[in-house]
Amino acid sequence: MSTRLRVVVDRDECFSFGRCVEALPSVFVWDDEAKPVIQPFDSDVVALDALREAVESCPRMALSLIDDGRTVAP
Amino acid sequence: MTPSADVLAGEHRFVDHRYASPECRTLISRPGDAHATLVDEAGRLIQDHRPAHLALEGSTGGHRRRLVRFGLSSGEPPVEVEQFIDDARVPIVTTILRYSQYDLELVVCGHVDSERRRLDVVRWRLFARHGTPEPHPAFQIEFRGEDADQPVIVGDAPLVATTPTDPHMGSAVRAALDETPTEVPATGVAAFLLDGPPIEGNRLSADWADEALASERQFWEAVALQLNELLVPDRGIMQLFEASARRIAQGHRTPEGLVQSGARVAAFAQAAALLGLDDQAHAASDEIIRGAQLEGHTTGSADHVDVTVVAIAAICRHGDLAGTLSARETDTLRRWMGEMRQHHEPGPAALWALAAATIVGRSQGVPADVQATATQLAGALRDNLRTTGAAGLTDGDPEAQRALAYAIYPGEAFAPDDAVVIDLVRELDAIEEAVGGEPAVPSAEVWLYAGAPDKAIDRLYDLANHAGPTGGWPQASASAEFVRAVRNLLVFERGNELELLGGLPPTWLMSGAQIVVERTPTRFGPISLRMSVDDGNVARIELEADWSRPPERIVLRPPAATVSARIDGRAIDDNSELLVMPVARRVNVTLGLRREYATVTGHSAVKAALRDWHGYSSATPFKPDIRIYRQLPIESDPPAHSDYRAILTPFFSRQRVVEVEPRIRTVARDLVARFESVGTTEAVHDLALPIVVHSLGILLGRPQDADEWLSWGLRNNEPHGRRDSRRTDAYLARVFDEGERRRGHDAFSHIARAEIDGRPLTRLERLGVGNLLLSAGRAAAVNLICGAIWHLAGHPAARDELAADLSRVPSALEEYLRFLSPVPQMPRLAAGQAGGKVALSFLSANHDATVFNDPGRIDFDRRPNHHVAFGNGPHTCIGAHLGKLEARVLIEELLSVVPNFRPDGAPDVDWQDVAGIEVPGEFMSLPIAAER
Repeated sequence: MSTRLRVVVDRDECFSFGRCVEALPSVFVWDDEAKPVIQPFDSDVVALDALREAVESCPRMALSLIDDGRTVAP
Repeated sequence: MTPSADVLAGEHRFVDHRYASPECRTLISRPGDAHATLVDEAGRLIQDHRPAHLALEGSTGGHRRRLVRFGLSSGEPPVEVEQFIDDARVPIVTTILRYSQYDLELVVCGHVDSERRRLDVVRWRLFARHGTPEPHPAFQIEFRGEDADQPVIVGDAPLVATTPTDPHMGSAVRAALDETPTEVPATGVAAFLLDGPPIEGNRLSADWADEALASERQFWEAVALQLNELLVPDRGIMQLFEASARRIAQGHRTPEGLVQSGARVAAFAQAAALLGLDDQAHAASDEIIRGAQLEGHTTGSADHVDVTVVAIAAICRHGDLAGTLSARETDTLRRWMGEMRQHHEPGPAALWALAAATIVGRSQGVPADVQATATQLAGALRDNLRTTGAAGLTDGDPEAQRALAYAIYPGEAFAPDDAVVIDLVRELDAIEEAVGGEPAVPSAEVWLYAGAPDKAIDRLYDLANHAGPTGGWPQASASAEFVRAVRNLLVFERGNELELLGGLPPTWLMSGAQIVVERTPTRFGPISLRMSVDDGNVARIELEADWSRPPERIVLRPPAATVSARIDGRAIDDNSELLVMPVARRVNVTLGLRREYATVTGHSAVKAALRDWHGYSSATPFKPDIRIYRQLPIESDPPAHSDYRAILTPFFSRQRVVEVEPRIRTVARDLVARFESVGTTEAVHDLALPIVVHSLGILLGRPQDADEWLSWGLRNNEPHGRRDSRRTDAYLARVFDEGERRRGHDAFSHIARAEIDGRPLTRLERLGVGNLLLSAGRAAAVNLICGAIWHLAGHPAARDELAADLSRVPSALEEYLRFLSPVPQMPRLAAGQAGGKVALSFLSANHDATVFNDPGRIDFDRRPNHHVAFGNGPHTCIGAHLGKLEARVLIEELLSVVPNFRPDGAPDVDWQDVAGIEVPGEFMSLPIAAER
């Protein structure tokens, strides 16, 4: 299991398209400003591919997937 | 949502004043005015600027010259200056001096009032940019004159003498006058009385200034600046052309001295002739003759080009074009022909003489004896000059280069492949390369003559980009050279041949493009050339001629994109570089054009390109035929893009869109109720366009303007089918101005006050942002709504299914967005060697079978549905939430109130083909009816 994996949201770039929420509702949840908050997730349960796909689905490129300080997506 | 890719500019061939000299002065005097006032680049006035040794008739003020500076009483220098004129035809100059905390706006015009007073009028406004720091400085006028007289300055409040803040200025008056700090924003008027009776009470009102500005505007709008219409599909070029025509109408006398610029007055005479302003042309040649006599030069001047010879050259060319010479001109020619023989020393004078002699030798209307003498003289001069070679001919002297350029064209004293011609273009090219396109000598025609049209086009754009934003060059004569170059690129005389479209920029072939050269004088008689490019791939060209001496041959240089040609309906198989047209009074040519841009297709490639702004740049004006500025942020790249986008983000956030939904729903209900009561409707103009325009008005905080926006039709930048942003620009100027004064809460006020890194947006940036707000999403959102209505009306089962469960409308709309791709493609400039213009096809990406199963089928439940209808990456549509909301609300209301709508006749729509599937594109009309 790895705890090094995290998702960062650039809230300035985010334009609330909701693609991430639609793609992976267990990780991306709307907040009051209609921007995603990242729920704690277990990297063993959530597949890396699913995370990558959700991060890449953002039309605004507002999400980044970071593995041990290194950006792995988009 | 934005420009379609069929309109793509060359990378560098657009006008953005990139080489503008800091010394671009604008003449604000009327034609024939004895007082010349220039507005300089810092908004200073230079009054009656003219060389003191020249007495010109009609001058009453002697030779005084006065410099007037406007500023703040604090003496603080401006941090930045912005200057522009609203309408190139009207010399009313706006200068905005930006200080650390204030903006001072000066609107300046020359004015002649009803009592024949001649005034320079300044309407000023002072704004505090951040809060209201105190005490405010006052508006201050400082001046320095070469005469002893104090200027007569009249304001809307008393003027008090004060100490100049600039030690170089002799005197100063403070306009805002009271001892207490000025209120900000403050406005006022100052007028300089140059001529005429004193002003009663020595006081003017703000209303008086507004009237003065309005009457000057009216005056200039009524002046015929060109009798022979010329139109090209590049607004930057057009604007400069109009400014140049205005400058020529203002007269050749000022602001330059005559002697130094005889060559330039000659250029004025020619340009006036080309514009159809024969009176001005004659006046200019008269002026040169008079100037020459005044100065007493006729020959062999050592210090400067001999004006006489230049005058001859100008007169000859005028005769060449007009086909006749006046008695005075013929007389002058005969008298001076002998003197020209003396110009045997290499140098400018001999070159001008050569140009003149060659032109006289071939011109009509010249008595046979004069013609014979001229031909003989030209031969002698040429032989003499040839011994030196081109480098020796000019010796790097710009005046000599200018003379040689003139001898080459329009003189045609050397064959196009003559070493003299080649040497000169090489010499000029080296200078141009070295100094970034500095057109010391305009050489577009020389390049065209030498058979290098690409170079000629580059030189035209270089010349254009040396002009300042008010449409002028440091040398007024450049206006004349510009007029000449534009015309010659389209209609060119070469010996006994007429060459059409010889220097046509390929970027002028966009669909909808129009080129008109109406009754331009040529040595063969006046001709008219009209070309229009349709929305498909066809260019229609019409030549109408009134031959006085028909050319031996008419050739047309077809654009590189030409794939087929017809002359008077007859197909031409010949693939040669030139089309030879019959010499008739009327000829029609039809060209088939190839429109192939590299297109990026497929979901992953399009998405990757959209995210790669280094490889696929947006930073270029993609529609130069429509507007002189870039639409922002869409025609920019990060990081500038982010700054522009940040200005707009607050208006398009999801929360804001949610807030306005009830008001948008009210509009939708009204529209649908009207449909219900009548039973039939035309969905484009009576449902889609109104909901889109009203929604935008609500969101941007300008609901009161929605009706005005509606009156613009489907495309606000194409009023009455003419591709032109000026109506939108005028609207924007109005609302930005209101925004600055009233500090409203609408989007335009917000843009007017927006800052990037502590600086306000420039006028063109504001127009760019404002124009995008008004045009983006307009046609695209209409097409989305119409596409959805079209599909539902034709598929009752799908319609009923959706009506039964309105919660499915959002996912149905996502599918319509994918299927329709309301913006089918977006243009980009690709980097690298294989670079250039490319189209990114959203339509192909959204119909990519590797991503979307059965893409031709409309499936309301498609999930995931990662279409790129709103683009992707930095430029992702900022109006996506609004677009979806207005479509959803209208479709929901329609399905609730008139659930049984059906087609009522065929729609008028442009179909697009994607992998064999017909997808509707732009809807012009979509009649539907409620089922009875």
